[in-house]
Amino acid sequence: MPDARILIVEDEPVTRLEIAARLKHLGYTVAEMAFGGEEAVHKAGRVKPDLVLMDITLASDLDGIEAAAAIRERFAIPVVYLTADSQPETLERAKITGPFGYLVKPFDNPDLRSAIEIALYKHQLDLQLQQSEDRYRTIFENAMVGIYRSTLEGRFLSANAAMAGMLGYDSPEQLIDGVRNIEQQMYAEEDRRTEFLDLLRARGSIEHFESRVFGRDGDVLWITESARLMRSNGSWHIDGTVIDISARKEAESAYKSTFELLGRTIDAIPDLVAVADLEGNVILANTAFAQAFGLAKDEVRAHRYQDLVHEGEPLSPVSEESHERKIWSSSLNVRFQENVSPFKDLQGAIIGAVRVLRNII
Amino acid sequence: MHKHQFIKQDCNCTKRATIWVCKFCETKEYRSLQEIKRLPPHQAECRHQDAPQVSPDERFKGLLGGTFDCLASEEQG
Repeated sequence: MPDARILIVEDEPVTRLEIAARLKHLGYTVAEMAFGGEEAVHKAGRVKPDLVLMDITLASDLDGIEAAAAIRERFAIPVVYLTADSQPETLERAKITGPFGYLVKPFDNPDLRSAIEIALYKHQLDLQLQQSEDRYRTIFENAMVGIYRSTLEGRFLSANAAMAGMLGYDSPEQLIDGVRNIEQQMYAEEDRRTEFLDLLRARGSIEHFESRVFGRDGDVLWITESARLMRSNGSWHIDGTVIDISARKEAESAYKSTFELLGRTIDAIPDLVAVADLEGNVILANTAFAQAFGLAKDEVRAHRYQDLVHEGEPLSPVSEESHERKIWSSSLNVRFQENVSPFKDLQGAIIGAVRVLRNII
Repeated sequence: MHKHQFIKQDCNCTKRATIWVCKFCETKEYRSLQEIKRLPPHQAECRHQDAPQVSPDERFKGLLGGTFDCLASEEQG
């Protein structure tokens, strides 16, 4: 970055001018010069240089280290220290300010150029990393699904707002403070958490693990969790996502209840009842129908109606009106009164038939 | 069969689960709103003669695993 703008902070006037001349010779721009710490901070804020060359031992109100710390914190401008002092205590203090390099006096032009270029490059990497972290944090915090990190022992390490809100907490911080033991406080079924951890340990990850959990106020909700076992800083933790599926579970329960009602209704009918599509594939049959052919109810669905009732005979057609006819079942050696009624879809198109067989004695 | 008619004990409570009281028999339940609207038969039944009768449809479906809405009308949205 040959046209980088550099702020020189040096309290020795001759040295300051000499550095300025060398920078210009190397193709850099001297944005400003300062001889004290306070002045350096003020000028850094005003001209916003790309980099600061800071004498570590300024004899002024703020020394070089304090000024560098202020510049990093307020303006995030990289600082390279110029030092003739390599005392360990000084370097320890300087390290804390996160410098991007040191130049030990006296230094030559190649050293100066290297230090500047490396510092600028590292600063760019830092910015990219920061942007990447900001993007991740935005996604994490604003995601519509719950996202969390927890210990294996059952404490939340982090959580997003969706996770907290799903469980009835006002904030992620409240969730993290409030839940001290995930197993005991959250899972409604005993051993569900143990089952979750066992699967996670065995496979390393788990998907769509459904559980009933308690919210903050003791309400119960259904969730589905997907999680992965991760290792960082020498310890294991769990990274997971959570979706509230209470509404879906409610719908499933209602559907099951309705289907149960339908199934028991047709099972109560003594006649042989089957619902078949237009090709004769059995979609639903009552117990009487299944038992007549020596099959379980779910086995009947693997057959075609015409193959069960009268092998080799074509399926009787279905029309808009119900109709009846007498048929002989070759497989059962029985004569039946067959009633065929149209089965229509939501738009009223015929998609199959309800076929009822009544024994004719 | 008669069913409970639950109202919040603390009408200003904003918690997701709270104490509900049947306005007929004064039975208490700690439930969420969703749970009060979907109680199983044994938790929905009220012994008080003035509590409303369940509809035949609700009763029949309850026998097949259906649930009962026991939220009092004054608590409805």
